[in-house]
Amino acid sequence: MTTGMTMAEKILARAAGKSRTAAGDFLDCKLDGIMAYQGFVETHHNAQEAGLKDGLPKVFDRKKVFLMVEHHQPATNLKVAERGVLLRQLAKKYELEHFYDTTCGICHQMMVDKGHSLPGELVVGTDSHAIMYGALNCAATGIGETDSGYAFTFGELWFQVPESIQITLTGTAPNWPIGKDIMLYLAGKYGVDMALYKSIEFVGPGVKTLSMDNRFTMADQGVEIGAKFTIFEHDEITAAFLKSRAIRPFKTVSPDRDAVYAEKYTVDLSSITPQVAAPHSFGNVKPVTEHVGVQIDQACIGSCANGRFEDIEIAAKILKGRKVKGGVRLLVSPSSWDVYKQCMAANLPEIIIDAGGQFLNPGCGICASNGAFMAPGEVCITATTRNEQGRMGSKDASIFLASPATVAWSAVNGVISDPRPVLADVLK
Amino acid sequence: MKELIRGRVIRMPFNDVSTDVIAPNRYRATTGEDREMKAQRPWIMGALRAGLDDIVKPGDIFVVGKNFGLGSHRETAVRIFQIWGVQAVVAESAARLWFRNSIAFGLPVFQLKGVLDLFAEGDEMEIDLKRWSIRNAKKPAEDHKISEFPPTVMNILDEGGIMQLLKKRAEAELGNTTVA
Ligand code: SF4
Repeated sequence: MTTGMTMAEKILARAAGKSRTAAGDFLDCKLDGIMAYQGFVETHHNAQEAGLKDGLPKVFDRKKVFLMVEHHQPATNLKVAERGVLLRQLAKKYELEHFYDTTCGICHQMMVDKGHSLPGELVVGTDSHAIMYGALNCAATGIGETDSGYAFTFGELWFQVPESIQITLTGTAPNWPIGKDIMLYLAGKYGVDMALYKSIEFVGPGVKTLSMDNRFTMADQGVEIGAKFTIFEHDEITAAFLKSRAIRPFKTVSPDRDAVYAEKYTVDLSSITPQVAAPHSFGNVKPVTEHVGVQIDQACIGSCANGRFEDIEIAAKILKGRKVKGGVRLLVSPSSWDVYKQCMAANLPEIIIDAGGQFLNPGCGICASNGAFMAPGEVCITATTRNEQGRMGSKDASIFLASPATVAWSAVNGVISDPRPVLADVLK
Repeated sequence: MKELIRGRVIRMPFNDVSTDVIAPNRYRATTGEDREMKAQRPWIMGALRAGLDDIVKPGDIFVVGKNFGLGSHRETAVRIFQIWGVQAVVAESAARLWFRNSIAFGLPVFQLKGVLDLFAEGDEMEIDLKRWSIRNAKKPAEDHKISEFPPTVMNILDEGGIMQLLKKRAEAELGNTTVA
């Protein structure tokens, strides 16, 4: 008797031209899209080092390679500026249809803003958080620059079909962003290797109470608990998001009822409380109440994890009519220019600036230690992706991860604070 | 790839070592110019063990804990092992993307639960790819099974990395290695 397939299995089987596959199989798959940013220069150099004197001989499909002058933009130093020059030359040489240069946001947000990663597809990107696109019902994952050379040239890569984990969401999400709290909660409870090499499928009645912004946060941070893919089922919320964005037709995918899962979990969304990951691991998680009172120097909201409209909107709601505590640097960076414009339309930059925060350009700056360095002994609470030692400059600085609401309220108080009372007040 | 890999063990008994810890951002080269990672080498895994760069010798085999290489996709966290001339890494378990990048570089990474208990620093390890097993030269009778790599992965390792495989295929299919 054959059993059913998970979403990951269905997508990989289709990409390999097979009718079925199962966890553990190794497949040669055709890719539906590849995202690359400034690291493409490395790919070029790696190819040259391997003896291809002009770099990659071709790209497999000029419509399916998405290249961005991104990660360090505007250029953070002379070397990055020089890389930009080479990237522009390469984009021209390969006649890429989708090249984002002067107004590029965070690469992953660009991929979803511009409808480049679609349901049922297999998409890779040269960055671990490419997994984020899985919020749109596809199998997306990170690869390295070297692997990507092969992918660009032939549109193919080997994959091992991962085991899948089913996480059933029940209950109702509150009306503020809790994607971060859910993922921190999972990491704290089950460990940062909870989903090692596996595909996470979020299903259940709770999903429809989660906005797209929440889903992107969750899919994005799936990699922090080891996942290869994080896949959400397609529903009306996904459809609404894609309606004006999708650049090609697509076919949605859902798991078979008798699909085989390595593990199954249930999470009641109504029971999720604000969570905080203390230095220096995503899995070093306790409820916010355990860290209340810790003095902070810096507070950040942004990145591919938490730089979307709802993340910034909740911060603005909390900050409206209040002031950031003297001496605390609040840095808010939308994840793309589309998000930036959404924020402007809702007057959010003004509220944040009036409260004493900085409203920055879109990009990785505050997340990838290009723009928010901290000195030894300093403390940051941040709604970005990671809190490894040294990620924000000094190895003797402390990085706490939390949701945008927790970050904003902590910025007002100058110490880590539980946002629930203020949320009850501003959302009533 | 060789059928028998033999080398001295460098033991790093830590779990969940991220690529940020292996190759810290702070010391990261921002272009392909520092391909030997000269600036970064003294800081590799420095938060866990100082001076590794002086200890590691070509031919060594790393033994590491579970979920090794989680986090960012940065290839410097793989490249360093090749710069050092490390022959292989044996992990309690390896994080997906770091594992994938290692294969792409032609660096064999094996996963064996309990490997940290089988080897002390400086022991000699034998990785037998005929039998797909690992043993400590001190205890030649004790064979520990590892899973066999599929042909696609062996193909890449045999070529010495996916870029070499790319070159070979491009030459076969496209006839030359430059863009027309
Ligand atoms: S925002 Fe941070 S985690 Fe996301 S892609 Fe940029 S550097 Fe990586």
